[in-house]
Amino acid sequence: MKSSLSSSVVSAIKEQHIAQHTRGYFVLKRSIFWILFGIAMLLGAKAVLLTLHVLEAEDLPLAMRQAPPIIVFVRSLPLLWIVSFALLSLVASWSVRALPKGYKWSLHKTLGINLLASLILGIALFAMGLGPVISRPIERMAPGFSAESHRNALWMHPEYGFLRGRIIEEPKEGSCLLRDPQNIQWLVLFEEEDLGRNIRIQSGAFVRLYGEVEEDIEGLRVFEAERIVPDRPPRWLHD
Amino acid sequence: MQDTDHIERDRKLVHAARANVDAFANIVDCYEAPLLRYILRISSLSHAEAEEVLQETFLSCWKNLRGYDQSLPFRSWLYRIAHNQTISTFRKKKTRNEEKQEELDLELFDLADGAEELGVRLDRKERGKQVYDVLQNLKADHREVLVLRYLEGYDYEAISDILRKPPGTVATLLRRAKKAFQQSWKRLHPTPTL
Repeated sequence: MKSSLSSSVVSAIKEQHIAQHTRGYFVLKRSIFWILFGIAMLLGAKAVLLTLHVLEAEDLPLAMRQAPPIIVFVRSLPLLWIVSFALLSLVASWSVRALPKGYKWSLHKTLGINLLASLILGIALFAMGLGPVISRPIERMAPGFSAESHRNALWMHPEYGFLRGRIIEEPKEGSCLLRDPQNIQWLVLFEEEDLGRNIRIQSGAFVRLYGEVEEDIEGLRVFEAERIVPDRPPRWLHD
Repeated sequence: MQDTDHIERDRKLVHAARANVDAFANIVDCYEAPLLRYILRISSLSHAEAEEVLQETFLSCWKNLRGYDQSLPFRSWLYRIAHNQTISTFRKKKTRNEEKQEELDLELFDLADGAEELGVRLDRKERGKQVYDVLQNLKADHREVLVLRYLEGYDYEAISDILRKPPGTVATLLRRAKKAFQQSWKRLHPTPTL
């Protein structure tokens, strides 16, 4: 015998013409989560790739030998990409958990797997040399987030002993003239043993220096280098 | 009825209901009573409100029937819909209902210290109300998991399907819920041996 509830439910369905969602509706709904998961994974890998590209460009391991102050170190980190990577991994994990049976996986497990997968994919893309290719459009659209900008954030701190620039005059007697990205001229004092490997101090060379700022000489800023290493030709100094 | 019989029966019911709205009435008939009881147990909705939620549950079930994943027991899927509808309605109402269930379950009573002594002294209805009061004092997720495990008799796997939580999380939640129930019982009934 039918209960009153079953009669009223069936009547409501008939009277209000409540239709069942089609199978296609559910396939589409699930596909959206799969697509979201895929996109989040790929963008996460891209964020890893850009992080590695920036760290490579700023030679962080090299700078760490001199241990920059914490504030300089944090500013030099590509935080946008690191945070993006973490957020995208969260989105990917959430998408997986929204899929049928996805709730069987705990958040920390899905998050761990997604972080690892994005990391592996990002490292693989970086190893394939895609860093400059992927970062080029970003450098055009948002120069503040470019690898070059991060390189400056780490190496343009003479007050903390980090300097970069281009040698603008042939060196003589342990000194040379250097112009930094802010167009300030420096008299750089150095000893031959301060030079890194594969570097020639000559006019036009791009270099990075560790050391410290000394007193000005005749209005010229002075930097005493403890170590000089090559730098990559940056865009800002293209004459 | 064995679980496998349930599954086979539900499979046939779903198959028929997908094709014919009149056959959907059989699903309603089968699950009306247990779902209404479940809704009342996990909420403090009135009987009338619970019936409204139940109707919404079945309408939602009808609309989503083609999306039902056969790898999941139909019963768990239906309970999940009822659970979501109840939580959603309960949150909207935000009022605690004074009209409490008269016939309440006593399985949870064993969790409380001194249950046997109390059982001797109090009548069944009174004990039921006490259990109900303690349940209503718990956090919603604690109450839900206790109801599903001890009053509805579901295993961890089924609770995981209904609440959409990993089985490990269900186990942890259940452990905490039992502890919370015991503490709440002691707080509300400080002298178990009257």
